[in-house]
Amino acid sequence: MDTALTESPPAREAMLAGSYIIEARGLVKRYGATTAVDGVDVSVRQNEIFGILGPNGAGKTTTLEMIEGLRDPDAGSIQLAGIDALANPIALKKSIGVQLQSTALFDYLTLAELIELFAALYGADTGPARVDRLIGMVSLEDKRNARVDQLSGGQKQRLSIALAMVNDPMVLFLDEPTTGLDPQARRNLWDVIRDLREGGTTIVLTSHYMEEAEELCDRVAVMDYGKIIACDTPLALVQSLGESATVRARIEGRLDSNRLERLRGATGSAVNDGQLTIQTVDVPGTLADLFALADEEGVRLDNLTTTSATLEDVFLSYTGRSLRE
Amino acid sequence: MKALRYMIVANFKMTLRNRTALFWNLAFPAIFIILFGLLLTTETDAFSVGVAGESTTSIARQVTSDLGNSSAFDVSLGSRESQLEALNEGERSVVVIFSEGATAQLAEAEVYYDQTDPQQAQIALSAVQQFLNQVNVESLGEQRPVTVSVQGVESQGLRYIDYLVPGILAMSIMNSGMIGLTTAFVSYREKGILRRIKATPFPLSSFIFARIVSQVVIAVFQAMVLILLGMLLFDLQIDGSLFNVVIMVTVGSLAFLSLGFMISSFARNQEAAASLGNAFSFPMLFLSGVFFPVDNAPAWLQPITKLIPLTYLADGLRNVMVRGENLPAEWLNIGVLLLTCVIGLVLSVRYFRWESAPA
Repeated sequence: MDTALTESPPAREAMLAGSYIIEARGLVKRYGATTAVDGVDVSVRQNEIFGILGPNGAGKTTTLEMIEGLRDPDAGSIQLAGIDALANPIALKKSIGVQLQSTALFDYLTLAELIELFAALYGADTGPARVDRLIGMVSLEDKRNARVDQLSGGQKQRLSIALAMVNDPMVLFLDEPTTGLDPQARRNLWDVIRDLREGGTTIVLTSHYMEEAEELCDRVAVMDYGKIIACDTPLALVQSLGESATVRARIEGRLDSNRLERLRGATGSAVNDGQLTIQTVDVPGTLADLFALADEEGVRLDNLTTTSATLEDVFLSYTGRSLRE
Repeated sequence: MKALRYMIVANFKMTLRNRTALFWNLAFPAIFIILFGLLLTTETDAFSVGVAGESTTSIARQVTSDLGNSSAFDVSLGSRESQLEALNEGERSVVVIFSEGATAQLAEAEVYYDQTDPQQAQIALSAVQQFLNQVNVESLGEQRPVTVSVQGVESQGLRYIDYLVPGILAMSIMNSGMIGLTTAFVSYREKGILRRIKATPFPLSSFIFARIVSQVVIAVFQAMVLILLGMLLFDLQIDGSLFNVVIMVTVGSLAFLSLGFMISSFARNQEAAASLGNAFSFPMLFLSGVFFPVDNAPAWLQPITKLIPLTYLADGLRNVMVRGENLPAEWLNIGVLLLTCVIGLVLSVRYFRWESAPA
């Protein structure tokens, strides 16, 4: 398991430096008296999907936009694929693909024309074969000659990903790519993002959906009030809470609380008005032992559910607040 | 270079597919030309001329009957008082009052015109004057048989349509810069399209340059269409070289595009942009002599008309289109427009914003 990279000792940092495609150090952005981003370090590995998770206003977008060269940080340094991003913004912009939070694009142009235009803006190939490949990459073949205003929200997001890929970027930045999409469109977009990663692109995205980060990201930085409060794989973050799941059931009759405590993996249990709750770090083990115990005691188990701890719980445990607040 | 070319082509496509832009660029000025052209052509078909004292001399009698035979004039006879009253009530364009000259063979003519309708009056005056001159030329006597006294009136000899088309052209060049470009640019900013461009390696200067090139080409195209319309429908006469017209349209377009950029730098949102654009362009429209000459406007207003860039564009276009002036003679108009362009660009760059409000 990775330790939180933001707090890595220098020796380890130096050892891993070669494998990071992005290394941002001590990023600060102030707006008047407010500090939107307060000393953030971000290290992203080659070809991973890296998520920045946090509530609205946490500073996710500002952090992303500083790395993208859209905002000048008040302090800090950014290296991306060996480029000093702050000293050489044009080289940076040529190496990355950017999808902004707003999906608006030029009206009155077709998808194919927009993709040609953006390819030209990057000095990339504008040939029809390449345009078709980009359109295929985001499964919009049947909309090739449609105008932007004829697209659904999900299709617009996929188009803007295609536009971000016109220069075959090393790193693709996606700012809240699935916000406002219905669940189906969201899953479609996740598939697109996974395919791009398979194709060798490193992806950095922001989200305030914990399930998105869990589903999609190799590593997640949890952000709040302009600071990164934890950074690791989603599993490691959840496991760091200790209680990784809760098992619940209604029981008819009595179960010995001492024996409940001794179920494999169980870290705590309670019975209130026939409602059994067990915290566990080993769901299959706990369930197997629970079934055996219930069978032995002749107790019936109804409405059995298991709930895994989520990044939501991680956020709650670090900040004492819910992500959705 | 390729990027610039694609951006310019994309701008053309967007303009041609945008029905609102097409309306304001072509249909709106065309409607103006057709409406004004029709309205004023019918009115100028026959000028209502009042004549008094027609029987004072034989010359006066002859002139009066010749006036009546001309289809250009609708002659009414009457006493000096009644004719002047009719002029006061707007029933006459011009009143000619003959009186005896030094001898019975000579006549003096006083010509009165309605100052509140200077456009109409100038045309009528110039027509009457031409007519009276004709009489003088035809009589080969040593003395002119009719002495005409009209003071302070210097007719340009322009027909209204010749006056109007360059004005409408100037108006639409101003509108596409100060309203069209302004609202488009502010909406790009509001929608985040400017930021999206900023995220590419394509420089802002190129983005603006592409926009300017496409707008200028569209303005020249627009000018050609409107001129053609005027020629076909109203027999508009173009005396100047087409090249000079293109140069004048280009210079004017640059001036108003840069003012448009300037307004879009200051306007917070599209509504504000449209209001600001209108607030600047509307007074210009009426103080610059687009629809009617401002030479006859009150004296205190005259200096203001000289402060307005549109005055210089309308004058310049009129001079190169219908008076056949060459470009060096237009140094003042061209100079003022170029200066406007520079001032506008400097202010736009100084106050340029990539996004609507700091996040």
